[in-house]
Parts: sequence; C-alpha cells; structure tokens
Amino acid sequence: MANFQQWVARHTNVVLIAWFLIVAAVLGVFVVKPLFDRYVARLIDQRQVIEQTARHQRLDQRRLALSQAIEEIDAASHSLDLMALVAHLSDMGEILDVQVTSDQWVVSLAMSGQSDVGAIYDLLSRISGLAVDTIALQTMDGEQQLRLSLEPSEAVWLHTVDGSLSELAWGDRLGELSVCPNLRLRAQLGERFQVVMNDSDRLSIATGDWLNADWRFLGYRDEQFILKNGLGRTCVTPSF
Amino acid sequence: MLNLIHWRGVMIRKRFIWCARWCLFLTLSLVSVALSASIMLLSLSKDLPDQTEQLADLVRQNTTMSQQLNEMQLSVDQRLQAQTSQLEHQEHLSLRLSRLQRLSLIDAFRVISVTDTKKSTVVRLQIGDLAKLTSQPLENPFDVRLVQPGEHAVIAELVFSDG
Repeated sequence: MANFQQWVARHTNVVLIAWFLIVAAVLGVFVVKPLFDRYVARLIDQRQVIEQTARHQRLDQRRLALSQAIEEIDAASHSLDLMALVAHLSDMGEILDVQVTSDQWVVSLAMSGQSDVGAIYDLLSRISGLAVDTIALQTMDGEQQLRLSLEPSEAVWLHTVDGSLSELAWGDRLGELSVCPNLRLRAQLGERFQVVMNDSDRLSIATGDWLNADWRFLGYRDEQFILKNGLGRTCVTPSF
Repeated sequence: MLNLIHWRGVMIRKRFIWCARWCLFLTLSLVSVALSASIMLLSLSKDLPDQTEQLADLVRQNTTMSQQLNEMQLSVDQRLQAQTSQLEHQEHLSLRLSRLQRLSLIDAFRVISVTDTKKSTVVRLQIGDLAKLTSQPLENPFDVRLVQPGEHAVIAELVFSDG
C-alpha cells in the first residue's frame, strides 16, 4: 500500500490524465454513443421517409402517365386472334376453310363479284405481328376464291388507322371472259334486232349494245352476227 | 535532528488523498457532462417520431409500384413496337398492292388468278392482244412467263416484282 501511495504521489499527473481519459471513454462508449446512434438513426429514417415519399409521388405520377398512354394505345389497337380475324374476313366473303398450324394460319374464303380484293389488303395492313406469306386469288364462274397464308407472331394486334390502302381499280375485271354467245335472229325492225341468246334470253338489240358483261353487238351481215368482246377481239357467229 | 522519513510519509499520504479527490472530482464532472449530453440526445430523439415502420411500408410500396411500372412500361413498349411494326407492315403491303395496281395501266384485261407472295406477284390474265402488254409505258416492267393463245383472248402470266 505504501509503495502504491508512493507511486501515485510520484506520477500524479499521469494518473489524473489517464483516469480522465478512461472515465470519459467508458461513459462515451456505454452511455452517450448509444443515445447518439439512436438519434442519428432517427434522423436518417426521417430523411429516407422524405425521399421515399417523394419517390412514391414520382412513381404515382409515372403510373398515371403510363396508364393514360396504355388507354390511348388500346383505344387505337387491340389484340387479335384467329377467330377475330375470321370474323373480320367473314364481312368480306364466305369463309370456306380455316387451317391452323404451329406457324401458319391459312384461311380460304369465297368472295362475290362485287367484293374488293383491295379491302383484304387494307384489313391485313392494319394488323401487326401477322406476316402475309401468300395471297392467292382464283376466279371461277363469277366467284373468287381467296386463300390467305399468314404467319402469326406471338402478339397480333389490329390497329385503327386513319388512312386506308387504295382500292384496286380492276374489281370489275375479275374472272374469265365468257364464251361467244349463240344468237338466233327472230325479227329485224330497221336497226333493231330481236334475238334469242343461248336459247333462253330474248333481247332487242341495236348496233353497239352490250349483250352481256363481256360481249357487244357490232352488226349483222350475211346471216352472221358480228360481236366484239371487252378485250377487243371479234367473234362472228352464224344465226342458228 | 529532524525526522525526514516521517515527514516524507505524511507528504506522500496527503498527495495520494489529493489525487484521489481529484479523480473523484473528474469522475463527477464527466458523469454530469455525460448525463447532460444524454438528456439532450433523448430530448432530440423524442422530437423525431419513430418512422421505422412507416419507412419500411413506403419502401415496400415503392418496390411493388416500381415492379408494376416496369411491367407497364414493357407493355407500352410492346404496344408502341406493334404500332411501328404495323406501319412497316402497311408500307410493305402497300408496295405489294401497287404491283397489282400496275395492271390498271393495261387497256383491257380479265384477271383469272393472282398469287401474291413477298417477293413477287404472279397474275394470270386474259388480254385481247399480246401487243397491248408491250405497248404500255410501265415504269416497272413485268416478265411474261406463259402465253396461251385462244380464240377470243390470249392468256398470259405476268410476274411483277419490286426489283
């Protein structure tokens, strides 16, 4: 004890400074620092709440903008499946056959003489995600058969667009020319001729009149009718 | 003769007691400082409400909303891409249709069949005279692939291509 007192008396300054530092460190580490950390954590939380609230508002605004954009786009386009496409095509003709493979839709339809093939092109041009492989048109007996080979992708959309593709100007030129009709003269009154066409139709015709959509009457000479078709070729047929 | 050893012992003891008192005084001072700081920090902490739960809730909501927005953005991108694709598709089909529209430059014809593919359009038609095909001033000429003469019309097969 006497030695300790003697050591303390000899190193009083060192002891006081060391004691100060030790007590300060202990109080700082075990009392002040936890409270300080708690305060700083709350400050950080408050700052993050402000940031997250601002971010929430920004995200909300962005969501509104995106929702509006989707609504606008959806108003101008909607997804299309095979059945919906067939429904659209059925407005243009009678659906004959629909074949579906993994990578192709094949639709066959019959169209009347008045149908416009250009309308098919116009409909297909409004669709995205559907590549048109082949459009095959076959005319037969006043009707047209159309065969569409289409290659769908994962998403097929039908769009509403302002403009449309121009129509085909040769809609009334579909189908083969009919054969030269048989005519029988019944009577002639001046420039007018009473004739029976193909043993069924009775007609009163004059020079330049059309007998049907393909053939026009040019004249009657030597008991023969002279006819001209829409393609500019003539046919001379005797009155039977 | 003075007993110096005795006085030295007294001085050492007094110095020790003095040092002990100063240690106690320093301890009390530091404790009071620490107490003041603690009271101040507690008071400051009380002024700030505990927003841990609110923050966690906000972070969760923002994460969910961010995922939703990514999906919505993807959806918008797909739709916009579809619109762009439709415009390209429309232009492509317009080109294919223009091949057929070149036919209207021919005076008189009857269409028997049309086979329109991506690369070319083959039209089988009836015309009065083959010379009508060659006399037309078409910008993009076509190939005549097949000719069948007939009594009242000629059947020709024309191949239109963009090249």
